[in-house]
Amino acid sequence: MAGKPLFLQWLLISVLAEFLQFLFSGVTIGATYALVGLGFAIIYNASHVINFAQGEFVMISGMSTVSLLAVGMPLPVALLLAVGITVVVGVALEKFAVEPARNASVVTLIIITIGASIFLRGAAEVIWGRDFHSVPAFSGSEPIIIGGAALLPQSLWVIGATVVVIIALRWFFGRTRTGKAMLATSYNPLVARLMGINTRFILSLSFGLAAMLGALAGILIAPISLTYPSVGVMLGLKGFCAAILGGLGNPMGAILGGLIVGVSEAMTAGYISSAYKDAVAFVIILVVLVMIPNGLFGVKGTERV
Amino acid sequence: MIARPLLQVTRLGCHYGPIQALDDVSLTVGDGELVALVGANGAGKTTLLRAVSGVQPASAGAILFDGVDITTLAAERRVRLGIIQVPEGRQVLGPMTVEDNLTLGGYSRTRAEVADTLEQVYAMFPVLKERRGQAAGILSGGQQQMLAIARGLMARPRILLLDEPSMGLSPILVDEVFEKVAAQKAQGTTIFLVEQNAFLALSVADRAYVLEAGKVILSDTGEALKTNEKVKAAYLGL
Ligand SMILES: Nc1ncnc2c1ncn2[C@@H]1O[C@H](COP(=O)(O)OP(=O)(O)OP(=O)(O)O)[C@@H](O)[C@H]1O
Ligand SMILES: [Mg+2]
Repeated sequence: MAGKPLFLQWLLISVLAEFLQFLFSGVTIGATYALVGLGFAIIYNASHVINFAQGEFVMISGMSTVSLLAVGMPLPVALLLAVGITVVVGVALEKFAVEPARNASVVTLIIITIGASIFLRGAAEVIWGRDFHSVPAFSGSEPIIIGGAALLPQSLWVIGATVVVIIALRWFFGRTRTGKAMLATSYNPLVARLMGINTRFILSLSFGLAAMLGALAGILIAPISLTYPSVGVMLGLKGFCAAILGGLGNPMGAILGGLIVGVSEAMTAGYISSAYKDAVAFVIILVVLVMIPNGLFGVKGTERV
Repeated sequence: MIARPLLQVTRLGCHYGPIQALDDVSLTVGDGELVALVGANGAGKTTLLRAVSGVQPASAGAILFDGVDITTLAAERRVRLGIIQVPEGRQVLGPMTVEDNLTLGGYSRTRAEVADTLEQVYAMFPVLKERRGQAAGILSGGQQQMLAIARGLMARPRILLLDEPSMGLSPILVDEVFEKVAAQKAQGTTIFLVEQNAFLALSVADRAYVLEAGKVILSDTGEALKTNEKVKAAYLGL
């Protein structure tokens, strides 16, 4: 008669293990959405532009890593260079596509970023072809077993790097002159200019910073999900979802938003069907836009001055 | 007797699309002077200050500062020259602390200069020192106006452009603001003061200009304008 409780115990443990497994994968992917969402928030704050080329930053860094490894560079060098290349692309995007249209309406600027994302994706297909590529994990792929669930070492890299990024950003915006100048520009661009802040430089910087965050997401996630020229489309949309869920322009909100999207997606895929995985983000976007337009953590809607 | 001109605006024109906000405006502000610009709602006073600060392009004419043509100079370069504007409606950075507002006011200056000026500004505005760690947005209207002026002083102005510093303040607070302005003038700062409150502005100004529908229609010493029949009727409600 000892069979029944043992069976129940086994059932409980496996249910818990399964839940943990979904949670690990949700937090991992959620952290990358958070990084992409942060990029949306930073550019939105500097210019009220929603940069729909944000997902392409993820793709460019992933694909660059593949190429740099192929020419024989050691992994750490390839990763750093890939981030550098992406930042250059981000700043160039601002200089050559956004800056010339600086006085156009925000809607025009947003359309320009959509055009830029299509262009970047096309260029990537020309350079790299349409194939899927894999990137080796940073430190082995032997999973760590926690509570019966497998945690990939790469997941620890993703989560750890995201935590470091969050701390670094808090320091940048809270302690440095340039970070505070960026905040001032987001609160009141006119006053920022009257204080002697070069707001054009701030805009370039915001694109550079957003590109760096997207690039980090790209190199961190590439070993887990494959990388290919259109990998940025979904990641961009999920990051956008994270950003609006957190209240556009609220960086800490974007981080929480990313985790919420990632975890809900993993739970849906695990408990319902992975066919519905991508639908979760779209449902969240619709619900937020219709019912809570300022997001979960947004204060009041900010008007452009 | 006009002092050596520090700011010289000649035949300035400004447009918002098809709307002409300034038409052939010429004026000078001498080194160390307090010059006022009075005029009704929509006369173009703010537009003139925006043009001097470089956040509004000129469509005609020229702006000279200390003898140098700055008509097309970028706004942040003008701030470095010491052309500092305290904008209409205070516009403090509400979510940031009082001290952050002040240090950002000194964005164009070195770290050492900022530390120095901050001490002076706190000595001038003790209430800001008391509330330095609080969000600027929760200060009272009068305190926010003080903060806006103090933020301007942090940039070590050679010329201070004040846009309606009395707006929305009670008479006691207006007096307090004008005391600070007078103290600043006594220290040698050149001041260009825009006011709808013409009586007040003309009382403190060495000289003044009257702007109407984008044109300068009168200019004289403050005292003379106060007794000018046209000014009395149109702006002093006498
Ligand atoms: N952003 C703008 N777009 C279009 N027209 C504008 C804009 N800003 C001001 N104007 C117009 O330019 C003219 C001058 O405006 P300005 O703000 O310079 O006047 P003002 O003298 O400062 O008025 P107030 O006393 O109300 O502050 C007005 O007719 C105003 O309607
Ligand atoms: Mg005005």
